[in-house]
Amino acid sequence: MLFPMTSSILRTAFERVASHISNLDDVKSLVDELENMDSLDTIITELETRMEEAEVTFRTDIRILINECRHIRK
Amino acid sequence: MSEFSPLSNEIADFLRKTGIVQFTPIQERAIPLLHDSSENALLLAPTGSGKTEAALLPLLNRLQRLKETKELFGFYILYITPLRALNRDVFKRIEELCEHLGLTVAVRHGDTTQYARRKQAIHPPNLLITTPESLQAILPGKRLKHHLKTVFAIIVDEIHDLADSKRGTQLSLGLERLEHVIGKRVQRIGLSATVGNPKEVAALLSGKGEVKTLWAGYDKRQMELSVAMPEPTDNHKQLARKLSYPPHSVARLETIVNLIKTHTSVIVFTNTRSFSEVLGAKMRALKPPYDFDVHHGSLSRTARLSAEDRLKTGVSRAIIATSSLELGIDIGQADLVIQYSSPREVSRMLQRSGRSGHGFGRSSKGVVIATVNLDDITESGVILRRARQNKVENAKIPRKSWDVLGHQIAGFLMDTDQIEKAELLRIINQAYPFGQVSMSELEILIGFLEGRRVLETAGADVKRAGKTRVFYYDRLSTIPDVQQVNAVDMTTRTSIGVLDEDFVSANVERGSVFVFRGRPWNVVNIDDDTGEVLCAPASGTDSEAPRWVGEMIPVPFEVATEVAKLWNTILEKDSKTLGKWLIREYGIEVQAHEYLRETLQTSMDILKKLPTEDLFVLEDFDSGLVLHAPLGTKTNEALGIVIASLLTTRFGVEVAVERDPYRILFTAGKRMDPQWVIDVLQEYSGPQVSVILRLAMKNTQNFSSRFIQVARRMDVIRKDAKTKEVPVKHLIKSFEDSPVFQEAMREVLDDKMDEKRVMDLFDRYSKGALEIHTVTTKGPSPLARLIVEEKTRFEVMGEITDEDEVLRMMEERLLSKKFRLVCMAEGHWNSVRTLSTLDDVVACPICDSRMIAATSPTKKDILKILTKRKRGETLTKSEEKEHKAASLTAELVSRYGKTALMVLAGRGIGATTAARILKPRLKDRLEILREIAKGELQYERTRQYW
Repeated sequence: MLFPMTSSILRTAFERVASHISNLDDVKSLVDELENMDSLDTIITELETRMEEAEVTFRTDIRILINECRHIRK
Repeated sequence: MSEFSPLSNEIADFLRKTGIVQFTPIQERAIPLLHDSSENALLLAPTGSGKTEAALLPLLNRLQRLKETKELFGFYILYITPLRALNRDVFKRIEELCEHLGLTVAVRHGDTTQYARRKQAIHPPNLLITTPESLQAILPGKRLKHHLKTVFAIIVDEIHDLADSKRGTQLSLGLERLEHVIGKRVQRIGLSATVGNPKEVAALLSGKGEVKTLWAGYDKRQMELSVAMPEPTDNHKQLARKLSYPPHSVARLETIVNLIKTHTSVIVFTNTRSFSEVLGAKMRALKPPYDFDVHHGSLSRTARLSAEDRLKTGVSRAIIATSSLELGIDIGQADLVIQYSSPREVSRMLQRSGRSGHGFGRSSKGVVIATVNLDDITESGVILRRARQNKVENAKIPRKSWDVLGHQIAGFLMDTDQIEKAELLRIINQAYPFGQVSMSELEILIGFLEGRRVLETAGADVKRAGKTRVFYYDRLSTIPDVQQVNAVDMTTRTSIGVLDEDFVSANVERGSVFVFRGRPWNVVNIDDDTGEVLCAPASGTDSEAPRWVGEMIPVPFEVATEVAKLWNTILEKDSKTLGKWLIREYGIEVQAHEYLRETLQTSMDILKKLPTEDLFVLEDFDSGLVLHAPLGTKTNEALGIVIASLLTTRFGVEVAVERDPYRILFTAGKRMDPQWVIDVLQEYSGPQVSVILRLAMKNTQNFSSRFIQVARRMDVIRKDAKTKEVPVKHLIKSFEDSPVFQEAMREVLDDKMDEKRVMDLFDRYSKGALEIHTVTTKGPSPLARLIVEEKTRFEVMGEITDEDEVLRMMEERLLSKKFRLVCMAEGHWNSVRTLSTLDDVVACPICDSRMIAATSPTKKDILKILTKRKRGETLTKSEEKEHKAASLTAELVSRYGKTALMVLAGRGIGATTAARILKPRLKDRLEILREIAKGELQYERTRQYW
């Protein structure tokens, strides 16, 4: 299997976890916004930063997304 | 290498710090296995031997290693127990260790607050302790489903308890659903102390996967068990009057009180909730020098928790409990368990006695306090012996339960929206209870569910429909839904517990008194809308304990046949060695030996043979037939129904049937020829019997109530529909052959009967492998009397013997009553006599007339009134009334003799009521006493209007 590109890792992760996400629109725009970043590590760091200020359910959404990204990368 | 190898240093340090120095046998075997492999396992070890840690320590060790490589987010281990109380206990046991390892743990069940649930959705605990029903609720949850993806192991604690019911069946499919949802295999570990059929239970746990079964520690288990039969002394008889409690029961009560006094922490187990209440009330009346509580499933959660805590902290010395305390709830160090009356099952005996000396290396100590009853004593002895040999009953796993499958199909649709039928069947077949479901059976069930709009079909697929969600969430629990009402203390306005609707409608009305939480309560009012029973504390000792339905514990076939074997052996044994043998082999203490030998010898003299598994005794006594067949509750239940219905159809007599684990009683309006029973056994084959049983069952109350429960679970009737509002007969007819009907029939036959054994029995008789010895007796033999006089014994367990003892005590009271007896014929005999001194026929010693009037000894004028009437003088109104009453009593005495006087001796029972109670058919002593008791109760209830 080919290794997915950074941007598509984020997108694939999002598609996989979408059914478990509470704030779908917010997460979707976040994905749109971060999709073009250079590396997955940068994306994850950015997601973690956003998590700190986020409302509690949104924070869990981001957490789920980060987890899935890490899972795909592994 | 550390003594706790292969566990990590952190875990080993923690264990040392908490005073643990070495593994228990089950831990020694299980930890290395579970540490390295993800094999499924069934861990079997005695109560208190550290099974929870044996399973959890290696898994936590794995989780700790995982944590070193990545950040944990999600559930990793699920721990499932059958009870909420057990959840709390496991949590307390493991919380500190998890904290020490930096892992998170939480409990989730029906009592979990919304706040805590939300918290779990946001920060999923690494270890989640839950119940099978809560797992069902979690599975389709949007967020929780995601958190489940990380689960690598599931532990099912006390798996034998779930295996025996639909809860286990549901869980087995639930586990398949879980694997389907997360798309990978999960390691499954089952824990139990008492399993008779580990292979089947292992299959229930793992479906088609392999399971490694590990046994350990049974050989090192120490048990000190005995069976006592206290007998009353003069002291007890005096106390009996004071407490309004039969002398035999007082003797038992005092033995219990003395045992509690000489121990530090005691659990007294009873077989029914109602009897635990009676015992609590009577013990309180004795004002013992210690605190104690009552504990059972119908008490509010706070009451139960406080009772558990009070015992654990040493505030109370004893707790009177039912099966609510049987499973591994940690209630500290009980040093004695008392079982009141036979525990009826080996597993129950082991679970209960295991509550004392809980913990590895300690000896468990248990005493069965048996009633003065042959069945009770020998049954207790046999169970004790089998417990020592660890011969536990098999868990009966329900197969092809259509209601559970229907619900789980809705569950699949909640998980995936749409699924192909073939794929659905493949997953369903993975679960052991549904391994044999065929496509055509599945199609029928799907068709039924589609008709209820629970799902839709589209070609080869099944799809979610409008009602799927509501149907699924409304029916998460398979525990029978008996409607309950709240009982509220008026003074504090707090709930004292819940009562079954059945009990309330049959027994509770304004003004009646019942015992709850060991105290009598007066019913002040019953709210029509909510059904709430408002109560106020009452005083006095004469009160009724609430009855809960479904409490009969069946005696297994293996126990019943061994009991019959013991009866025969007692008579064969040399009397010199018998005593020692009974103590050594069966733990039966010396007080009972003489009683056992005498009762059995008298029975042998009358019957000539005692029954065994292959030899039944058919006793024809004056008013009925008793088939002595020691085959256990379920077989006798089915055998009784089959024979009675065949007798009714073949010989045109309405036959009534009563059964206990050792015999079946047939009674009818006319004499029955014992040959009829033999003919019936001779002429029918096993398969015919199965058809007859089903036909006969269809018309029973038992089937109707099961049908309603299943119909509720399968959406045929509303969940909250009141039983009396449901047109049951009509429904049964219109749903005949549907999955609802089939499931109700399967439930009744599986739970209450042993169809297979009865089929075998008919075949065996035809082949000559079973012998029947017929004997005619003048009256019921001592063995027959156990069922003739104590018909109710097996209807309300625990109280049974006590009900009879209450009646016996009432009889004593009635017999001590004095009457003024006057000869109505000549008026020449006028004497005050005590009832007990009279013969059965009461006649005038002078003229032999049987027209004897009975009045109160204080009514000295009665003779004057009689003389006045004889002379033709006019009587005053009150004299006229007295004369009329005296004449009526004389008429009753002439017809019924002493029995008439017994009835008249009842409190508040006058001549008119007595005439209503006395019927020519009424012959049985206990039946008469029961009728008198009813008359007295009626008087007490209505006296305010007199």
